[in-house]
Amino acid sequence: MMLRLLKHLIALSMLITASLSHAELTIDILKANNNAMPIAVVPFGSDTATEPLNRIISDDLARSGLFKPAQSFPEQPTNSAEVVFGVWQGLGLDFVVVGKVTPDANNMITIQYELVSSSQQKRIMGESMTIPPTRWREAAHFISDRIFKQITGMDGAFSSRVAYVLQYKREGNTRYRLEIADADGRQPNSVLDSSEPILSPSWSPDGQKIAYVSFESGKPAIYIQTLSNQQRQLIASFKGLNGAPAWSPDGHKLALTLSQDGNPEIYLLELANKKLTRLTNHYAIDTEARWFPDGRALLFTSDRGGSPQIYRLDIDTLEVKRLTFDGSFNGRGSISADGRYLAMVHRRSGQNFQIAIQDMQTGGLSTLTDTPLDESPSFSPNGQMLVYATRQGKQGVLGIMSLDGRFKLQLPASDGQVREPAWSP
Amino acid sequence: MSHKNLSIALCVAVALAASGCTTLKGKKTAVEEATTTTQVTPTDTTTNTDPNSAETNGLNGKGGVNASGLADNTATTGSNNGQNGTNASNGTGKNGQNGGNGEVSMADLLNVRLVHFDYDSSDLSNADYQTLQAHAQYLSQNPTAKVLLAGHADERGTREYNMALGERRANAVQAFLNSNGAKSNQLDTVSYGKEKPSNDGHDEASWAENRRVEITYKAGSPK
Repeated sequence: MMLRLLKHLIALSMLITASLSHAELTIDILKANNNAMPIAVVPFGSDTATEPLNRIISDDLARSGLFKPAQSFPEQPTNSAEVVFGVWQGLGLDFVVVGKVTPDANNMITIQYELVSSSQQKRIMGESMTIPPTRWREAAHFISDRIFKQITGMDGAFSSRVAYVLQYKREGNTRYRLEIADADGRQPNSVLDSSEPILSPSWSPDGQKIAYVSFESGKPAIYIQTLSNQQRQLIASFKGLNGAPAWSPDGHKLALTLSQDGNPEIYLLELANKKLTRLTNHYAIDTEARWFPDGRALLFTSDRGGSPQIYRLDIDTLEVKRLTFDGSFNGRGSISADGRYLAMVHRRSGQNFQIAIQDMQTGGLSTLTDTPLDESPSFSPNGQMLVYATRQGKQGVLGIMSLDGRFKLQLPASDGQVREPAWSP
Repeated sequence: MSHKNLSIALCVAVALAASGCTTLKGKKTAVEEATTTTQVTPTDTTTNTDPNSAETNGLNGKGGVNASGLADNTATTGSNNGQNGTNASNGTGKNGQNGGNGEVSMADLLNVRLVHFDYDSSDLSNADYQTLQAHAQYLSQNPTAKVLLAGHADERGTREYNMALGERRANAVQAFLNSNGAKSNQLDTVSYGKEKPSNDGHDEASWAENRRVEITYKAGSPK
C-alpha cells in the first residue's frame, strides 16, 4: 500500500519536474506588507511530494500579502491533538496548520488538515478530502482558500487562474502563445500557439471559455474557444478591426469593437443568434469596452473629447458619460466585481503609463505603479488584487498588487515577453 | 486536550469535479500556422565604395540619380539617368541623393515603402505626399498592381487603442492614394497596432520608427 503510494508520488513528482522545464512564471515579492499575519503551515505527515502541500499553501498565503508564513518549525505535529500551544505562542505564531496525507483505495490520496489557534488554545476548523494525485495542487489551493476565508473573512483567490499572451522566439522566429496558468504562475497550458499576434483574452463568466483576437488569417479576427475540449468558433471577421471582445455578466453577449462602418465603434453581439447591434455613433475611436457588473452599462475608451479617456455607455439609452478627467491618457478600464473601483492605464505627465484606480463613488484617483509602461489591469475574482503587465528591464512580465499598491510581486517568464493578463472569474 | 475526531469529512473530489475548475490536460490546439508576413523592402545598410555600384553613383550624382541596386538593374524613369552602375549585391539602398539637376526619380520614390507619423497622429507630411503620389501614379498606370497598407503604432498606450490608431494611419494613406489615382480594389489595409514594432527600443527614436504605414505590393510590384 505504502509502496504503491510512494510510486504514485514519485511518478507525480517526475511529472511536476517535467512540467517545470516548460516555461513557468516564477514569483518575486517586491514589496512586503509589514502587517502580514504570522502563520505556521507545518509539513503534513507522510507528505513526501517534491512540492509538499505545506509549501504550496505557505506560498499562496504569502502571495496574498496578508500572511507571513513560518520557514522553520520547532515541532511537526500532524493533528491538533499533538500541537503544544505554548511552543507556538512563544514564537509569536498564533495560527498553526497541521495535517497528514494517507493513501486510499483506487490509488487516491486522503488529505486531512486542521487549523488551530495557539493563543485561544483550540482547534478552529478541519477537513478531509480524497483526491487523485493529479489534483494535488488544486487540493493545496483549496485548503489555502479555506484557511484564508476562515481567518480573514474574505474569499481567497488561490484556485483562480490567469490567462495571458506570451511572445517568444523559436528558431529565430517570433511566435505568440495564449496560455492559462494557475494564479501562482504554475501549470501553464497552451490555448493557442501561432506565428501571428494574439491579443485581448476575455473570460466567459462561467470560466469555461475564452474569447480572443488572433491575426492567424492575416487580419484581426475574434474567436471563442472552449477550454475543456479546445474547440473554437470564429465569431467576428468583418472588414477592418475586430477587437476588444468582452463577455457580458450573463454570458449571453459579447461587446466588441468593429470598424466596418468606417471607424471603430462599440457593438453588441448576441451569441445565440449572432445579432449585431451598434452602440456608439461617433467619428472618434471607440474601443476597449468592458461591462459594469450589473450588465446595464459598458465602459469604453474614446478620444472623442480630444484625448483618449474612459466613458460610460448606457446600453438601454445609449447615453455616453465621461468618467475620467485627470491626465492625458486613460484607457483599458476595468471595473471590480463589487462596482466600487475602476482600474485603468493612466498617464498624467511625462512619459509614464501607469496603473491607477478611481473610486467610483468619490471619483478619487490613485496611481498604483511607478514603472514606465504598464497595461492591462485585471481584478482578481475577490476584488482585492490586480494583475497587470509591466516591464522588468527589457522583459515584459506580469505584476500582482494589492488595491492600495502597497504589496507587489512579479511573475517573470523565463522565455519570452508576457502581457495581456486576464484574471479568471 | 482531548482527542477530537475530525468532525467534518468532505468528499472534496466531488466538489472539485463539480466546480468547473477544469484542468487543461491533453491536446494543445492544433492551429495551422499563418504564413502571411508583411514584406518590407530591406534597406541596405552596407557601405559600398565601388565606383560602379548603384549606391555610390547615386551619391555622386553624375547628372541624375541611379536606379538603386535592384536585381535586374533596369534603368527607370527620371529625367537624367546617371550612369547606372552594377548593382549593389544585396538590394535596395536608401533613396539616392539628388544628382546634378536635383530631381528625384520615380524609381526612388517607388522604392520608399514606409511613411511615418507623429505621436497619436495620422497626418501625412509633405515628404510623404511626394512618395505617395509616386505610388498613386504607378497604381493608376498599372491597374493589376495591388498594395497592402499596414498601419502601426509605437508601444505607448493600450493595445486595442493602438490597433485603432494603426488603422487610422493605414486609412489615411489609402484615402490619399485613392484620391490620387489608385482604384479602391487596388488598395487593402490592415492594422497591427503595436504588435509588430520594427524597432524594439524604448526611446524616442525607436518610437518614431514604429509609427508607420508599410506599403507592400501584393501584385504588380514596380521593378
